[in-house]
Amino acid sequence: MEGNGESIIPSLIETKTQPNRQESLVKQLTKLDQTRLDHQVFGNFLTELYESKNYSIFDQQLSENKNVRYQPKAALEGQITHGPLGDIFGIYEYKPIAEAVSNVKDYLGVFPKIKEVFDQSDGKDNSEIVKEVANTITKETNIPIIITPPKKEGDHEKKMDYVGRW
Amino acid sequence: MKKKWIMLEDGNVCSASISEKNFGLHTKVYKCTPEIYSELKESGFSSEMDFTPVGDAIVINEALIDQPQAIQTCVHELGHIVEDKFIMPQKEEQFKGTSILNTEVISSLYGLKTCLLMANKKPDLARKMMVAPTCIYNWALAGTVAP
Repeated sequence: MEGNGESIIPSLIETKTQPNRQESLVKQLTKLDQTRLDHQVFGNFLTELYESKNYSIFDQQLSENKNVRYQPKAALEGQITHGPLGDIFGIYEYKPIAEAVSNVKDYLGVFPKIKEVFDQSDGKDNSEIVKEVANTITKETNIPIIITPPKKEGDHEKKMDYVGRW
Repeated sequence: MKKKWIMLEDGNVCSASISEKNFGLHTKVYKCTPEIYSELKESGFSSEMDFTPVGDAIVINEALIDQPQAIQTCVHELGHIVEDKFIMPQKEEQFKGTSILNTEVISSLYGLKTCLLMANKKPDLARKMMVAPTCIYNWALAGTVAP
């Protein structure tokens, strides 16, 4: 993937830090409708994200996973950022998170059905809800969802055991 | 390292390997012939095999499905598939044969949208659903950190 002596491999995409986290938080929170229960929960979540202890956790994880270097940087309101592969696929312009969540398109029409699952989730434990969400997605999209035990050390020593039917 | 392959009801196959710490992942479904299936059983996957992707699948870690985060994981993974199919469909072809990295943007938005649906029903549970992917949201969505 190189041409003219200049690589377009994402590792060379320049990144710049966004120093003003608190400013970003304030801008995010002002976009929430605090009369809405879901936005109240969201606001609490965002506020915790911006706590310094989470920066530390994040930075440690980041240093171990270079892949995230190439994720798009979202932004303060109105900021233009690179996409995951530079501007090859166009430029992302990020809106505040609340708007982004609200506006993200339901391409496969699953969210109304998932809401129905949640509306009928009283008395059900988490695993039951997960299975119902999985079944709903499969029913609506024909995308199979396989719930399976994780692999462990030594799982790959045998051959026959690792092919099965679903 | 061999993967765990699953044959689906329609006769196609996908890898269903998932690590212990991973809540879920999305993967490709491949067209499978009896010969390929037999070879998979005997020798595991080989890059020589004629694997043709025909669709997508989602793999969920059974050991973690009692965790609140798992409730939004299916939808998060669906977001990856949506991004590949509808938002950046050219990515796969353009970078065929190279190691392409998935973004977490659409998937995170899908996961978060799911959490907010739950928030109106069970706010405490919804809040817990949001906890685990902190680093992803913090970086990919809040835009406050970059390496």
